[in-house]
Amino acid sequence: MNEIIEKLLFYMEYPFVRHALAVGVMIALCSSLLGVTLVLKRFSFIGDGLSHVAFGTTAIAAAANMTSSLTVVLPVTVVSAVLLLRTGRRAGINGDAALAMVSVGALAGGYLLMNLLSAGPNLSGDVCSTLFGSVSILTLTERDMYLCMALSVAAIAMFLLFYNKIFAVTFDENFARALGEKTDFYNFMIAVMTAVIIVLAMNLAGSLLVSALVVFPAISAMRVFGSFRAVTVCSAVISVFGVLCGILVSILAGTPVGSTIAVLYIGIFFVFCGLGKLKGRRE
Amino acid sequence: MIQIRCRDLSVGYDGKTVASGLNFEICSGDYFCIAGQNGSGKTTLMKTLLRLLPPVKGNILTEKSLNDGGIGYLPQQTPVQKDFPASVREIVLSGCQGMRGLRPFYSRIEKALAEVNMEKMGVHGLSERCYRELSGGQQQRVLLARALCAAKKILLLDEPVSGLDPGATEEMYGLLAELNKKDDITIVMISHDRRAVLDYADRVLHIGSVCFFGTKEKYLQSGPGREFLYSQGGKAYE
Amino acid sequence: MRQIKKILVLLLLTAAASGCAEGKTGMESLKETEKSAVSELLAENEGGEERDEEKNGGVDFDLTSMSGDMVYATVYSMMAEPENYVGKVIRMKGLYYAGNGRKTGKYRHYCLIQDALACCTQGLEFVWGDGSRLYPDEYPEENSEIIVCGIYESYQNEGDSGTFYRLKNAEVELESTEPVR
Repeated sequence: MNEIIEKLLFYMEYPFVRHALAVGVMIALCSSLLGVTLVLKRFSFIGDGLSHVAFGTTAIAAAANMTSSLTVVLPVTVVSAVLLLRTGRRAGINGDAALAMVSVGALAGGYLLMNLLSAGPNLSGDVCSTLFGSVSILTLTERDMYLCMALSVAAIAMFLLFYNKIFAVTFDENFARALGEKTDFYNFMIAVMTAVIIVLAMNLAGSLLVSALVVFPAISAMRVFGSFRAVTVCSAVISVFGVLCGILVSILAGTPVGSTIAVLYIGIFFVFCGLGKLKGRRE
Repeated sequence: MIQIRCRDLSVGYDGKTVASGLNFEICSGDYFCIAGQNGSGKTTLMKTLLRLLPPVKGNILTEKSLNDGGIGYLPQQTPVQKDFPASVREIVLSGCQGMRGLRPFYSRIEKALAEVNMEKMGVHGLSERCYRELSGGQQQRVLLARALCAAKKILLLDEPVSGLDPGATEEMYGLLAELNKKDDITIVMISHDRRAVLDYADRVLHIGSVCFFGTKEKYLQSGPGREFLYSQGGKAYE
Repeated sequence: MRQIKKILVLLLLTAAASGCAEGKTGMESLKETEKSAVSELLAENEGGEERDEEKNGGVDFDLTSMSGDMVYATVYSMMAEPENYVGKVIRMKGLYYAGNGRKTGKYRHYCLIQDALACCTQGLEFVWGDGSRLYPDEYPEENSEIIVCGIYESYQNEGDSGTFYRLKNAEVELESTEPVR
C-alpha cells in the first residue's frame, strides 16, 4: 500500500498528472450534471452521435494540418447538436434514424479523410487515440487545459443558474411552455452545453466511450434516489469519484484511461443496482 | 364574464387541420367539458388554447388577465414522467415557474404557495416521496397541485381521470368540483367519461363530424350528445 | 428505508471525502512542487551544473520505473515542453528502431515506446556514446528491447528549420536480443 502511495506522490510531481486530474474532475462534474437531463429526455445516445461528429471534424482538422483542432471541432459539434436535438423533438423515429445516420456517416467520413489526406506517419495511432482516448488527458497542452477548464466552469455555472428551468423543461416541456417559458431557448441551451461537454469529455474517454461519462453516473444515481436534486448531486459525486479513481488506477497500472473509467462506472452501476434493490425491499 | 372566445377556429399541427369551424365561449366559473371521439382534435384544441400550437384559422380572444400567467394546465402523462426521479415537492414547485421570469431560484412566497396547494390536494404528506413510486391517483393530484400553482382563474385538464381506478376518479372529480365552487376557478376539461359530463358540466363542446356547443341539457338532447351517451353506456355495460 | 438512506449518505460522503482528499493531494503537491524533486532539479540546473549523484545514480527521469501511461505522457511532454527536460539525464526502456534519413543517408537510432492500447507509438532519438559505432554491425537487431540512458538535448538539422530532440552520449543496455514483435 505504502509503495502505491509513494508512487502516486512521485507521479503527482509531474505537472501533466495534476492537470489531468484537475481537468478530469471538471469534465466529470459537468458531464454528469447534464447527463441526468439527457438520460431523462431519452437522449442517451446523443453523446455517441455527437462524439462521432467531433471525431470526423478532428480528422478533417488534422488532415488540414490545423494546429488546434478544438477551435473547429467545437462549433461544428454545437451546430450538429442543435440540429439533432431539434429533429429528435419533432418526430421520434426520424430523430433516431437521423442520429444513427449522422453518427455513422461522420465516423466513416472522418476515418476515410484521415486515410486519404493524413500527412502524419502515425495514422492508426491518431485514430485509435481519438476513438478510445487512451492517454489524451495526460497529453493536454497548456492551452487546451485552460480552455477545458474555462468551458467546464461555464457549463457548470449555466447548469446551476438554470437548474430549475432545466428541471421544468425536462419533466414536462408542454407544461413549461404553457406557463410561458421559452422552452425552445432552454432546449437550445441544453444542446449547446451537450456539444461542448461531449467535445471536452472526449479528451477523457475518447469518442467511442464518451457516452459512458454521460450515462452511467445518472443511471446509477437513479437506481437509488427519488428526487431530481438527490440524483443530480449523487451522479456528480459518482462521476468525480469514478474519474479520479480511473485516472489514478490507469496511471498506476498503465491501463488506458478511457476504458478504465468506463469499467469502473459499470462496477459502480451494479453496486447501486444492489443498493436500489435493498432499498426497495425495506420499504 | 367571458374568459376565452373562439371564432371560426380551426386547429391542427404540422400543416394538417384536425378540427375546424369551432365557435364557443368559456365564461368565468364555468365547468366546461370538451367531448368527442379519439382523434377528433380535443388535445390539439387544448394545446391551441394554451398557445402551444398556432391556430390554423380563425382567432382566439382571451381576457387580458389571462395573458400573463393565470392559466393552469394538467397535461396527459408522458412516458418520460413514468420513471422520472423527482420528489413531489420539486414537481409542485415547478408550477411556480411562470411568475418567476429569469430569477434562477424560488422565493419564500413561491415555496409557501406550493405548500398550500399540496395541502389542498392532500399530497402534503407525500412531499418528499418520489413521484414514480406514487399511485396513479396520487400522481394526478400532484400534477393538479402543480397546475394550481400557476392557475389563478382557469384550469385546463386533458383527460384527468384516464387510467385511474373508480375510487381515485371519484376523488379527482370531488377535488375539481370543490375548486370550481369554492375557489371559483373555471374548469375546462377533456373527458371520455360520461359521468363528468352528466354530473358536473355546465356546458359542453362536442368536436367531431358534427360539432355542438351549448349547455349540458341541450347537449344531451342533441345528436352528438345522444351518440356520446350511447357509446359510453355501451362501453360501461359490456 | 431511513437507515439505508443514512448508510448511503455515509457511503457517498466517504466517497466524496476520499475524492476531496485526492484532489487535495493534487493541490498540495502543486504547492510543494517547488520543493519536489523534479523542480529541485530544475532549480539546480539554473544554478549551474551541480547535479549530485543523489538518487538513481544521477538519473533525473527514470522512465523504466513508470507505468506505460506515465512513460507515454512523459515522452509526450518532453516533446511538448522540452525546456523542462533539456540537460537532464533520462533513462528509458523501449524497442530499438533504426531510421534512415533519406536526404542525409545517415541512420538515426530511436527508442520506441507505446501507449496503453499499443496503438500510438512515440520514438525518442538517441546517440550511442559519441556516435562512432557502426550500423548495423554494432547495433542490436531492430525491435529488440533496450534501455537507453542519456542527456536530453535539442539540436538543429542543416537545411531544416525545425528543432529536434535526442538523448546524447547515451549508454545502451540490451534487455533481450530476441525481437519483441
